[in-house]
Amino acid sequence: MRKYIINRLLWMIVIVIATAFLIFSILYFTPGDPARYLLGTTASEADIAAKHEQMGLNDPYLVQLGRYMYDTFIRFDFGTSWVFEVPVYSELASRLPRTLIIGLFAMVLNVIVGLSLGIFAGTHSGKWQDSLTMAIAMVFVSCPDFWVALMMILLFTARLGWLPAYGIDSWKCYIMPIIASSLGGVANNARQTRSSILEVFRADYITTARAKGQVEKKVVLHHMLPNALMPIITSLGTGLSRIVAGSAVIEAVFSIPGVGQYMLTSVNYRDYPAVRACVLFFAVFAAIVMLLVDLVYAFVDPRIKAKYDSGRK
Amino acid sequence: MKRRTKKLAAILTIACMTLTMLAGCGNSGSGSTDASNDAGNSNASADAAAEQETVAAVIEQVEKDESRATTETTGERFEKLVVAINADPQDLNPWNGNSGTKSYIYPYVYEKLFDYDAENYYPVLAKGYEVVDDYHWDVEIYDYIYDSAGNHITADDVLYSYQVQIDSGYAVKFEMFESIEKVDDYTVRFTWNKPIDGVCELEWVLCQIVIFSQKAYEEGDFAVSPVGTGPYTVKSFTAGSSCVLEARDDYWQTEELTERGHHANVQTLEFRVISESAQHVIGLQSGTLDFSFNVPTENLSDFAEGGQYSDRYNIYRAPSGQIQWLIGNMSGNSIWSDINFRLAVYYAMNTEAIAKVANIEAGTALCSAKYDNYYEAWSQLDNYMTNYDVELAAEYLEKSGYNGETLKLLASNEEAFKNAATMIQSLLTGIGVNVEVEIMEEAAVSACLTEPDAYDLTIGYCGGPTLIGTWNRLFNNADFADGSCIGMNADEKVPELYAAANSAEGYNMENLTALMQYVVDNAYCYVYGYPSTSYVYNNQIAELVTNYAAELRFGDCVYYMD
Amino acid sequence: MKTIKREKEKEQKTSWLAETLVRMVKSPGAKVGTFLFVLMCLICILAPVIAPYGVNEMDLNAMFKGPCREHWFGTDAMGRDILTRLLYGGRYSLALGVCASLFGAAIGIVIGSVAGYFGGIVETIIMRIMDVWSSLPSMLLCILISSALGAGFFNTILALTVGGVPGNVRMIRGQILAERSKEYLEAAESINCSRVSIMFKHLLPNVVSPLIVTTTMGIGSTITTSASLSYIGLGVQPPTPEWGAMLSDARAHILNYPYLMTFPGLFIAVTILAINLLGDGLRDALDPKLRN
Repeated sequence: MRKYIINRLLWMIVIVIATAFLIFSILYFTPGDPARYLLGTTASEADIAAKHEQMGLNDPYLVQLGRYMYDTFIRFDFGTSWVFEVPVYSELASRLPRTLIIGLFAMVLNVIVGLSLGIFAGTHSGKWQDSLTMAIAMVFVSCPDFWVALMMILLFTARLGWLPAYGIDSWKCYIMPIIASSLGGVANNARQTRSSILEVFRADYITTARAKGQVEKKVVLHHMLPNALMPIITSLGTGLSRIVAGSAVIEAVFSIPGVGQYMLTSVNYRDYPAVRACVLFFAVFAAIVMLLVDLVYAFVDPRIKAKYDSGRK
Repeated sequence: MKRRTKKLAAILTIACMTLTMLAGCGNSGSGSTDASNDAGNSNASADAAAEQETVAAVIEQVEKDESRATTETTGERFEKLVVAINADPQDLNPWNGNSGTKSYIYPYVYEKLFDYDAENYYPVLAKGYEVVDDYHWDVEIYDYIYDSAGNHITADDVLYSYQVQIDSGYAVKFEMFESIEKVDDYTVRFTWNKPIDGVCELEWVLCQIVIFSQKAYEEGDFAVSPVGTGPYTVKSFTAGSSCVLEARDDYWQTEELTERGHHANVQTLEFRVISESAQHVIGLQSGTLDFSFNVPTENLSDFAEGGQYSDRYNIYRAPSGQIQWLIGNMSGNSIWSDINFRLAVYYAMNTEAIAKVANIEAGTALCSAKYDNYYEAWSQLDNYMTNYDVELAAEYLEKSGYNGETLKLLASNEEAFKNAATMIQSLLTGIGVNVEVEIMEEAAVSACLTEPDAYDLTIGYCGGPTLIGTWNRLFNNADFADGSCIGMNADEKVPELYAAANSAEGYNMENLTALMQYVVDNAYCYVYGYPSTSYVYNNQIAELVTNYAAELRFGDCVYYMD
Repeated sequence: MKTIKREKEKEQKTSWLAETLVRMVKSPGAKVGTFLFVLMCLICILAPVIAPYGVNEMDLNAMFKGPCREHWFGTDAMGRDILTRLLYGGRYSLALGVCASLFGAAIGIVIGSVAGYFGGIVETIIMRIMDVWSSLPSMLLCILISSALGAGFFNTILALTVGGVPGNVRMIRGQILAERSKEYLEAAESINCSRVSIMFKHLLPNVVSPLIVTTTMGIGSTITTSASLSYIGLGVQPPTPEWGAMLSDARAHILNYPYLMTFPGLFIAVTILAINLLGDGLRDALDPKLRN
């Protein structure tokens, strides 16, 4: 088992480094001169050349790449924002909690509400409760989350005046962003859970358990859920990275100064150090989530465990 | 079971659709003072237009009630003002490269040697200036300037501040600047490389360079916690969210000598970043905001006299000298270098229509009527600025070398420009000119201006403290690195005429008219409108006060204290 | 012998298609989904015929009109008819969704089948590249590519396509791995069929069902992603009437004229709902476990 974990960890590091390379290269070959953006049209060719030198843009691709990799992975320094001259690291650190709060709470909702709805629907399969839940889930899966967010603002802020629509002043500000970014995931999860439950429903071991006279509640919790869990874990994992990656849009709607907003602003200003750091952050986040998913998988799935414990690779 | 699920889903969707539609319709009908109130009514649009005009016409400030106690009469400070800004100031470094929302904040914290208006330099840190000869000016500063950390500011700090800002690359329009040196502890000498004769020529050198203490700058991090000499200090700064300023009790200047723009009549001044303008309205309605620059025009009536929030807010439309223009790419043998084509395009422009969709005042002359030295006659001239003539446009188009190629119209991504570009596209399609609109960030548009292949047509804006300053970007060839005027226009007559009108003795109607006439005769530039900013403010503000450069200063405003 | 086999295959194929269709027709969800989707496509394709106004036709006397008889869905800030723009906009949104997920699937097929069929070092390399490729969530990759290429219709298609490839590659490869171990391949190999012909003639048809399902569902998620991109200003740009761009245009007017926001959103939601229903129906119809 340990071997599997180490293996997986090493691979994650390789992926993150390769991703950094990918980001750097995409931005490097992007047309448009960042120095010109910074200095505007008033700047003469000499000014721009000087700025190039100062920004280190005159070096060949490999040298710049090497410097970037060295700074990022050896010195853990993301550099200083070109446009606003603030260290990217400190900016990220102050914005990170806001993005994470939304992401994690949305995830919690996702798990609790999505799972319970799915189990509810699955165990009432064929009855009206099932149909209703699934119909609602279907509708929410189909609505773009930022549009739902805007409709929520219309209803809860403009009409009813219950919740603030922007900012980070109080915990109330986070309610709508969390709900808006979790709705699609909750619906998706409920659908996934239900179909997993239905799948194991007819499995032989459930029939056996029932035949043994097990209490129905025990059947669901002890026999069905663990087996239905696998596809659910996967969908949770992708759900979490989707929430965090989609944070740019939700943060834009609710004026929340999180990492997503920072990335969008930097993209617009061609502020590459900031863009690189933000994108890399999201990539690392996604990689960690995938790692966790795989590890949970390994613990739950006896096949993977067996494969590594027996020493075969 | 499947069957039922899907059916239900379908029914639910339809129910939802109906509901949201009802919500949509219901809401549009509920705004009591709103234009869409009686959407079915054919008079609605006319009413709406009339209403919008009355709102737009509020140029006069709401009169101050002299009987009430104010910050003026009591001498105390107003407690707190929350101001909404629509973009992140990002940092608080002592220069303003990106002229974004930072310019709303940093003048409260930092001060410069002088303030300026159209003609004069007003001393702030400096006591005044002495013209030694054509090439040298001496500036003496007060000997009791202390910043918010208690550092004493001397001539060395002035030199250091200039050096830092020159090195940062943000010291622009420094062409006449040769050097700065120390004369004694409180006097510095500027050396120019040419005699200073332009109108407000030293705006950038004397009035835009912030002075701070070398010690504070080297020890601290000005980007997030600046130390300046201004009447306010930064209490907290959360990038992307808010910036709270606190009035200084130990402001260095004496009460009598404190200049306009440097008072602190509010104890706490909070700037809050809210990117969506619709949310500014929500914030004002709920009372969490006191001031906004960005309320959408359609919502202004709610805050104006008779609107549902007029009991708490006033509005004021601040005149601005800005102009918005349409120009083309003159480089090489582009289609735009053909005067017939330029005239065709300009005569096809329906100024009223463009201004209406861009939500600004329609243009009639090459400059706005805001300035004192504006002459009414300029808007009476018979040219493409005052005439919308499709037939004439077609005639010119016939004579031009246009062969149906698709032209690229570049515009920045702000709504006013997006809408104007769309209207221009449609007007040009009307005379048979194919145009595709390309929307970019403002910075990207201005980076494209000197690229021969990046555009055919572009729209943009410019403004300035003086009438002639407005045109700097359009007709001054020093403003672009390639030495030609905007749009890569190499006609040297334009900058010549500009220079003549921009000199201290030549700044008169004749020279201005000559420049304007030449530009219009050659169809180099077309101004489609003058934008203005509407302020919505808490009516606890008794009087809005600006500094010399006509920028609003919350610290100088008068507040009711009862 | 070969001809016999061919005929048999043909027979199987037609019956496969026919059966799928029959099963689709039997499922009400799929019927509703197909109907809505076809309807959407039709009204968007026929936009020039059925739209009441010109797409960029502005009526400055009718700015911000609420829904009424002349303008069913109202007009926007420039007096343009929302219904008309929605119909034209659907052409862009649907084209974006369909093109990007088809291209994504096509590239996915090629790379995925190469990986799945050849196995060994080729597979390892391809799958490792896919790991890196998909380490960025697709929305992020789209943001990055759109900002690199600049906004616009074709660039958005490209960005969305690139974002969709790794998922397809994984799926195809997984299916092929499952099929590869089956006996008929050994048979084909033993009679000296070339590898490429095996791949295209025998393997692909068997992995095609899940591909159809994911591609269909992909259209829906691609439309959402492209709308989000346009909303934050990186996708299709105004005055192109793409649905997301229309939403973006409406954001300043949400308080007074919420219908500007409601209708484009509803069009997106209904289209995606239709696609999801269709996809669900297809999945059930194509599911071998539920067959017979």
